[in-house]
Amino acid sequence: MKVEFELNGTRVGTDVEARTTLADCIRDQFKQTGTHLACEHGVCGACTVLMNGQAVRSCLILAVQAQGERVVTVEGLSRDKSLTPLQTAFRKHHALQCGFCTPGFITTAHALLTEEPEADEERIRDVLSGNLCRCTGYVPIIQAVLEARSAYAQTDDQE
Amino acid sequence: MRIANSYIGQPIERTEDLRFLRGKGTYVADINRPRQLTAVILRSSVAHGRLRGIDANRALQLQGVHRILTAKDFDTEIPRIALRLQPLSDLEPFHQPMIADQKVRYVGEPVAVVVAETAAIAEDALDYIAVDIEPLPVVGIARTGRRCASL
Repeated sequence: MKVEFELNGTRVGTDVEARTTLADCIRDQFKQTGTHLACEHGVCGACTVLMNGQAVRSCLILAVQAQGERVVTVEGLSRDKSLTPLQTAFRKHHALQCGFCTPGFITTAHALLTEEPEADEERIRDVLSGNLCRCTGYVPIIQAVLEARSAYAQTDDQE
Repeated sequence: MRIANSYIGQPIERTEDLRFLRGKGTYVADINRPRQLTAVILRSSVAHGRLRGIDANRALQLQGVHRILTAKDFDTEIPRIALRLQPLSDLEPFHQPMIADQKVRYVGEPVAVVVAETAAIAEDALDYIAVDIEPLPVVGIARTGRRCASL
């Protein structure tokens, strides 16, 4: 089946089997491997991407469901030469070790702070509870997201 | 003369974070080479049982499946998985085989490895492998375990 959508600001199109997930499509067809697959059944959050600004699990969405939609992955939330305020906060607070779950946390936190730049710690914990990290633990991640809030409060032009 | 160690006593930024945070790490699943094959593992659905037979013939007929490996494909004794953190000799009898040989001892134990052109084809092939396991008693609670009956 043919599918066309916007991936990180670029119009892309490809031919996929109907059963191909959006995650596999992004990784295999478009070679953007920042989106990670771990549990592949919607539990771990590693594959989280933004679809029209909403955080969604790309392992639970078929590629064909992205037809005509706007998809943003961790690559689309990154700059070439520097880190974004959210990424800088993750680095500063040691909110990652192996980095496998990190793209899912970045996309989820970005979606949250874009809509709710004043989210309190309880709200952040609640939203991030859908993402699993197996090496760092959650405290530094929460600290990083709390610190990144100020950057979202100041600007309206992110994503 | 003393040289101060600048790494101690202050936070250090990790260099690898720059790629991990921007989705530029290269994990094994991210490697994509021409003519690369993908392996998928068929695992035991039984906690304890005698492995009577594995019929992979139908799975092998699927287009794109290159190889299906089981314990029988190894000429030598199946290697055991060594313990990294506590390599005590007392624990050696309990080391697990890399792939189930004659018996399965836990749900999820590798029983066969399918090598195919894509992960999707390999996963399809799993459904065509017929595994015959004769169930044996299991240790489901601590009290059973205390009887020390060998599995």
